[in-house]
Amino acid sequence: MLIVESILITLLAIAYGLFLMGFDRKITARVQKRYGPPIWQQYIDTIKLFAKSTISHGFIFDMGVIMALGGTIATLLFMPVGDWKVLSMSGDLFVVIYLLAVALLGMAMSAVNSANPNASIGIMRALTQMLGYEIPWLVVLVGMMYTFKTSSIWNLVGGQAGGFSNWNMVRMPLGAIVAFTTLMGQLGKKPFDTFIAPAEIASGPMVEYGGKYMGMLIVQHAVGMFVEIGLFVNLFLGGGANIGIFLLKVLAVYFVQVLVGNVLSRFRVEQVVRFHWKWPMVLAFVQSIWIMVVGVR
Amino acid sequence: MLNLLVLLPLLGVLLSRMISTFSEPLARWWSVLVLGVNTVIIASLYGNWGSAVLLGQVIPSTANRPAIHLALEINPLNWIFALVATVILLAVALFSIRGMSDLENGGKNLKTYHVLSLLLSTSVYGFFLSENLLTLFVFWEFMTWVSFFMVSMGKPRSRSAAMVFVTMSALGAATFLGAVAIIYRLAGTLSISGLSTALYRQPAGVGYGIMGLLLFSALVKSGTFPLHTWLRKTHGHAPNVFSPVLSGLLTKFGVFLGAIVFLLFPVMKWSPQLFSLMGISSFNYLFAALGAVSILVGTFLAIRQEDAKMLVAYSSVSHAGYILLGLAISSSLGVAGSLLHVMNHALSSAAMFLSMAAVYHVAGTTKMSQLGGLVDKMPVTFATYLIAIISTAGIPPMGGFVSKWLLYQALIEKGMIFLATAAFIGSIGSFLYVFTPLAAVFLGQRPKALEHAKEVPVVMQIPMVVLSLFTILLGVLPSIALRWINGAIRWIDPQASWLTPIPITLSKIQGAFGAWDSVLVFFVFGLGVVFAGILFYLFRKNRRVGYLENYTAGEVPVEVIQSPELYHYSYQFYKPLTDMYAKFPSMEEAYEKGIAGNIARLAAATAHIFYNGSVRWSVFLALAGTMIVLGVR
Repeated sequence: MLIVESILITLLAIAYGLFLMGFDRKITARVQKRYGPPIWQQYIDTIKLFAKSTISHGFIFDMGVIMALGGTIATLLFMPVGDWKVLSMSGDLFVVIYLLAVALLGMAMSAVNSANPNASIGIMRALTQMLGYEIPWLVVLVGMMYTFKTSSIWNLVGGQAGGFSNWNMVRMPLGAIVAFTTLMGQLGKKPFDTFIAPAEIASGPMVEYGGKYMGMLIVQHAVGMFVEIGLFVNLFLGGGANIGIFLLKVLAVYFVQVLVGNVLSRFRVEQVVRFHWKWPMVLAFVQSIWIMVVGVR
Repeated sequence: MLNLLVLLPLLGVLLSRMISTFSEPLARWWSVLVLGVNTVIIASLYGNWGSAVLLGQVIPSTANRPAIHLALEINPLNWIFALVATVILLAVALFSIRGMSDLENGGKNLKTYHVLSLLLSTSVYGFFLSENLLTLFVFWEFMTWVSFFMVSMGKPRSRSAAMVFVTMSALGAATFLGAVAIIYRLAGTLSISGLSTALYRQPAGVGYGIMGLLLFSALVKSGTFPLHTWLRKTHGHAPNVFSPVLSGLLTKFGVFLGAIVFLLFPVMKWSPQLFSLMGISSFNYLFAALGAVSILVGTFLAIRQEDAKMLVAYSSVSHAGYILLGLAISSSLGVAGSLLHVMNHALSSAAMFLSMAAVYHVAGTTKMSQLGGLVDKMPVTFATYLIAIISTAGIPPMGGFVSKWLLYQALIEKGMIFLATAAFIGSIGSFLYVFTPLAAVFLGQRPKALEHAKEVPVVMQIPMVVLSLFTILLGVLPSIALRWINGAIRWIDPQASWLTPIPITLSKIQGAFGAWDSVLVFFVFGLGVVFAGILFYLFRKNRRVGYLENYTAGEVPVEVIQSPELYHYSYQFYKPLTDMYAKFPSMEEAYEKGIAGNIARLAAATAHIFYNGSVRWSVFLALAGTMIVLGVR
């Protein structure tokens, strides 16, 4: 039963993540007054990538990609999707956050094993900016977990039951802003896309990937996006009463992310760290201390 | 049985010297044998709590004071430390059978090394199993002096490193001995398990004074901010096989002393008299804050190291911070997290240092910018390092995550948001610094000089593999270790007045705010990897190419083909980040310029009074001095 459920939810996440990417391309095109590719273009691209022959740079190059996708799928199973629990009763927020790090480690290992300095620089940037955005995000979560006396995502969702005014977005408005900003960092959206930076470091970690490796990474990114936006929806937008509402909320959040990302230009990597450790950090502390002292209504 | 633990290595020292005159390699196996027997003894002692043995009398009893003995005792708390110690010692001894390439100039050093390492083992067993504070102090000093000689055996300039080590240790020893004297004077007994009752009637001021003195020396030995400065020099110069012992084990001397102070003193009686901060006394908060600063300092300094050994050395500063943080919070979760972190950090840092020693064995350096691409040549070493860093960075499914999870729960339970932030920075930051050696040493382009590198001999691989297996075991089934720790918690506080055992089942761990299932997480991670693997192997096979078949923007740079290391990004890996804090003041410089410099200047000024270049003045002073002395008589 668990196996079947996990396969189903993985397929859902992949399909929806790819849809979000196609959606992103369409919106971006409209913002730039282009017509843009059809919304299902991402599916075609991914299938095409898997069908192509390609090169490998060694065992860790293969292993890391598998580890990246595997870790992301494992994380997905611990996250509530609407009213679909899978395993989210037996994981907690820290398990989810740190399991995602396994995926990042796998991808980093694989990319650096390609022995291309562009990839190494890309990974360096990805890790550096992770030090930037993760901290304010975790500070907000400390306040949230302390106030609701639980670190289980399922219970944190349950604590927001009873309508819009109980959503953490309303209860912790500053925290929601911080979480939204750090989510852009997690997704590598525009002002924080230093590690991709096609014009500077030839797409960074991706530089040596092609064929099914690239396909695996796109699938990984799809699932990762689903998990990260899903976490935001669960923690700040009250989750979803059913899967449909959950997916709609994910789409809405991503839509705003794409719009914001499209009108901003890229930071340098140390600017990303400095930015996150300045305003989001201050807001995160204000929000967390506020809610820890005052509590929820 | 118990006295064998100390006597066996001590007698082993004599035999070792004799054996090594016949055959030096046999002496290496001899060390392994002695430590192996000791490991079996320690494992078999589990459950024999309270059994004690006398080694000798120091102070005879008088009418109003009981005698002070050198004595050993086993209890659930020190058994955990002793077990960790013996596993690390044994692993390193096995590794040393082939892994001492940096000491092998003539073989004379090696004979001394065997003698010293067995002496060191004696002090380790004696220390962790001490019955009273005096025994503790004797073995503490014993360890300091033996390791002084071991550190100075390393590279040519290691004598100055050893001096720094011994000076700071001497400061710590002074406060330690002072505290022991005060306790004996006040309480009339030094027994560790009886400290709580013996000191119960002392006023809080005296109590916290004694604790402060003891914690000062604990901070020195555990390498915690602001007394961590000896670690860098010492590790940079110590022999490669000594570093894992130093970091995995000898820093735990300080931790053990800290555990005694925070857990076995009647703190709960004294703490109401201090004002409290976030639910713990301000004294404890001060040390928790020191732990937090230690995490930050260790992390940021480790990020900018160029030598893999120094990097791991600074990571131990950061991890000593986590351990101190948990002990100072003194809640059930904090204490359990700390004790578990002692085990996890000992295993992972020993494994990291051993893999770096293996790299040194093969490549002759641990400077990261001179290495690269060793993964194909040294797969076992790579796997050891990888598993160790997953644990160090606190990522499931390895042991380090479990202890950090308990510490996070402890911090959030108390609502300590600033300390928690430091803990998070340390955890994300550790991901950064442990990745540098992975990328620079094992992955990337391989220098031409390492083209014929080979994996280290099997006898060196065994300890690395075993330590990795333990790390995985503690990640999948942490309940094994947590059961021991719960035993220790029950022994520390039988009434469960301030410490209660962590609720665990075989696979589930319950924190303050949530629970998780370690076996399930491991299983689900495996499931995810299987899914990904199926997707990967379902599709077309790929062609394996060399490292130099790379995207180079369409150019074929000749120099890259001639020396591939030019195409390896490894020097100053995190430059954009480290530039941000390059100008921060350094504690080490502050000590060297501030304290050491001023002492030197004072000494020079004093010398100048007596001798300022003119002989006449000196003779005059001497004569005048003599006359005054005579006149006074």
